[in-house]
Amino acid sequence: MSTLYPLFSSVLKEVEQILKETAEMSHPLVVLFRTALEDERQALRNLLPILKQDSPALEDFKKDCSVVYLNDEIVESTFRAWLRAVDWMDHEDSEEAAKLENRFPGIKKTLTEAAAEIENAYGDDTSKYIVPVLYRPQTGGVR
Amino acid sequence: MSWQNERIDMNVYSQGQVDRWVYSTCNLCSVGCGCEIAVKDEQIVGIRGNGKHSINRGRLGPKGENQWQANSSPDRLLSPLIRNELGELVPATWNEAMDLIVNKMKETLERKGPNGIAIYSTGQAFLEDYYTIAKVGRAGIGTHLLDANTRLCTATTEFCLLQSFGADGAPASYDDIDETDTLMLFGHNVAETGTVLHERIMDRKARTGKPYIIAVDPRRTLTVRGADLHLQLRPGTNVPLLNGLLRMMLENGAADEEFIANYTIGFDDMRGALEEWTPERTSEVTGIPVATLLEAGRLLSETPTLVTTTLQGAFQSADATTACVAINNMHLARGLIGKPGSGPLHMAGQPSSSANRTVGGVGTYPANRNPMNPQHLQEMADLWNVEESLLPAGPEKGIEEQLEMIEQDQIDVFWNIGTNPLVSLPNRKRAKAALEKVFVIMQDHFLTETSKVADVVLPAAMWGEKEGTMENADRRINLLRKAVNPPEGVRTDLEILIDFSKRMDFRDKDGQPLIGYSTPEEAFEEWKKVSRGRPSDMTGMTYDLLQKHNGMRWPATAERPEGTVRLYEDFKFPTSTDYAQSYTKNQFTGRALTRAEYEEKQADGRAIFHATRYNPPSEQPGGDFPMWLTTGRLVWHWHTRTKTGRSPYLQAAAPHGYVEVNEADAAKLGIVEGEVVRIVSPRGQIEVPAKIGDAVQPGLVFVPFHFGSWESNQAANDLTADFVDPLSKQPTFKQSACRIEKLRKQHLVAGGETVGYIADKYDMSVDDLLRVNKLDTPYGIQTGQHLEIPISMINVPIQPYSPQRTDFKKTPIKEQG
Repeated sequence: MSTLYPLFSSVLKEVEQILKETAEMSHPLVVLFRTALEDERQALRNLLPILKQDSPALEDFKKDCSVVYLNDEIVESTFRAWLRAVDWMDHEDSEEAAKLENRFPGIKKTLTEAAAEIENAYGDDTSKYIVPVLYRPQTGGVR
Repeated sequence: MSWQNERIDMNVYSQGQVDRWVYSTCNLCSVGCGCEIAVKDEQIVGIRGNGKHSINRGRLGPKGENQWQANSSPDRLLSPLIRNELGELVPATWNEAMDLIVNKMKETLERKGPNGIAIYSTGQAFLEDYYTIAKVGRAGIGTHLLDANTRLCTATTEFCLLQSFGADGAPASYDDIDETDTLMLFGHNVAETGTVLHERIMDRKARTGKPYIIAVDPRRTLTVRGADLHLQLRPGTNVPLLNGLLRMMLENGAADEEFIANYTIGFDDMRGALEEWTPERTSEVTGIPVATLLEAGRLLSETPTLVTTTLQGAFQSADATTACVAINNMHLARGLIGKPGSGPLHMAGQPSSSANRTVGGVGTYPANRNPMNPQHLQEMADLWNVEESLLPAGPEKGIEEQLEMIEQDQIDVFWNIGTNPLVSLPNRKRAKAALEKVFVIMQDHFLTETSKVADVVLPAAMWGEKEGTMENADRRINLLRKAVNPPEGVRTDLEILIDFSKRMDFRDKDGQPLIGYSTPEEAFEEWKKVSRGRPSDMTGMTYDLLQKHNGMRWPATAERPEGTVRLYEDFKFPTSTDYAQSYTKNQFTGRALTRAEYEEKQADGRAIFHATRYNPPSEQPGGDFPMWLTTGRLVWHWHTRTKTGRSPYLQAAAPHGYVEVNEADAAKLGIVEGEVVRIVSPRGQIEVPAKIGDAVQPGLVFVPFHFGSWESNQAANDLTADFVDPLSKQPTFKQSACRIEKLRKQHLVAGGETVGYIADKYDMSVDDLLRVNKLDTPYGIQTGQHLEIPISMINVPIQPYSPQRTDFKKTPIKEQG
């Protein structure tokens, strides 16, 4: 099993939990981040069977891997916008929204850890176009 | 055709003849008018329009005519400033300021890496500045965090063009406006934001009766008053309207099936998303009567040519990019693109915001290169002679995302160049709190509201004091010659950036300085090489040619030496995977697609239809905030008034903020003209006089965003929500919720007092006093009765902009209903 499996597996659990907990909510920002999370969930479901192998080829999972990261990039800020929105308008979802707040930084932390694993296993040049820059170790520039 | 005659608008204040006139371009709004700067005794003393420039034939707008006065304002910054231990900004030498900046940058690079540094620039500097920001930022520092205030005004233009056509660049041009039968101004109040272009449109209309103008706007603006058909939709319903109109057009059999089959992909998916938008459903959501919608649908189905322009009513609204993509869909469905008199013309908000996008100072890599395409980054690495591995990849981060990163302690240095975010950003108190956490470098001509959070201030040269080029809304590159030297102690943006690069010792692979040029023209020549073979190819341009031709539209190459009037005349679109500027985004969520997903589309040179799903605004009136709030510009001011507020004429024309309230709402609330009221949103409150009329629809108020001083409590962005469009990340300034609160004191009626006496006492008219108290006659008051008195009344003498030399009221206006 790839060392990436438990990491992405834990992300899937978190994503499924958030989807479950927001299933009844219909605010436009919830619709937006839930649609992205459903996309992320599908990518994770595609990804995990491949990561069960000991040394999966990057080529076999790079598309789904990118889809997971690219969704995560947009989901957290949309979630935080929703937190502000329901708080400002004293919306009925306000309390439930606040309970979800800690899940997203946790997902990001796990994905950052996975990014380092990917870079170690497959190299910096290869992972550069798979994992967005802000999840990768901070390098760059000619200084 | 455009103007029949030239007319030289001029505004000069000089004792005796001026010494010389210097070739230039107006630095306000995105129209791109040619002008000349008057110089006397090495001072700028005026301006006149360039009669030979095809855009304006000598005409200038009110801001353009008065822009030069700020240059000689006595409060110009003439030396760098550094915040001292007491928290005061004090003068410093350039060496001290630049050393401090360099040390802070190096410390941040060491501690947090390149993405600990963000550069936030502008849409009012020059192409050469932006190109240098791109190079210093991406190759020098290695930061992924380059953004600009263009995010607030023009990001949606870029992203809707990437989605539909594969690359940035407005397909149609002003020449097409001159030829079209029908012009749809979608959320584009051109009469107040681009006066010369509006005059050009109305000049032709007065002569020929064309074009038929459809104005889409929730407000009854000056533009609307010159239109033939007004679609006065509810706020936040652009996408339902467009979906409804396109559905009607397809029902009417107006689709160009041959064009769709040969030159596009995705039509069936797009059509499927229109199904629910029947005329009745569209009417229910938008508030526009079915008959009006059917008439608009008929016109759009039958017109042989169509230009659709968009501006902030589209870009700063909910579903911004989706609405603009829906407009692109409409043009593709009818095959009305790449033909004379036809095409979408998504405007820009600032004089050179398009240049910033084109050369990569913001958004994608220079010359429409895709930041997710390894080949494109390799090309840039080769052109800049650096290692590809050092260039950051991936989709960009907008300013609101950067503020969130600051809140999460990920950014330490914020370099703010030529913009005033603490007036222009939505929910500005949150923005202020974020910027207080980081080291802020501010580069500007004056102290502004943003100075409050600046740690170092660098005095930058203004328009007329430096040379360079700008790109307007229709891809035209215009030249600006230097008229005078900047004041002593002031440097140009380009000089500052080059100095910074030297001090950081940025070098290429061969050990040569990363920035090898030292003048704007040399920078432009290097940029031309970067642009070769790309959509925005400018290899056929030189400074001399730009002056000779009065601007040239890209692409301009050896094969197209005079530039390109309109894009896609061959119906080939830059959508092949290896060439496209973007792999596009999910049209609903905004998630960037991977290369593999984009390849699966097999666009291969064809334009792309996208399904345009409606998602309502994130904040809507309700509960304690029952009204819509929208914000926007006045004809008299530019952005945060840093320049126009220093023109006595412009400042006198519009001296303070106000709130526009519908007359029915005013009557219901008992508010009178000029009464200072409090506008409250979930973010904050302002106190401004009420301007009452029918410009806004009932339930909606409008506040101009120009007035943002910390002291006067008139800042529209104390009220606005900081939600963004999922694709372009442009804030939705146009839709927030609010309420109006009256600010009243009580008067106890004493024996013998009359309404006339009381009105006099408080400097009010009898009518106003009666309205405030909802009294029908002046005779019914009783001793001991409490009357309400507004605590403050301020005249709202916003002058109408009268020099519309064309009588555009001769065409009857067809209103809804």
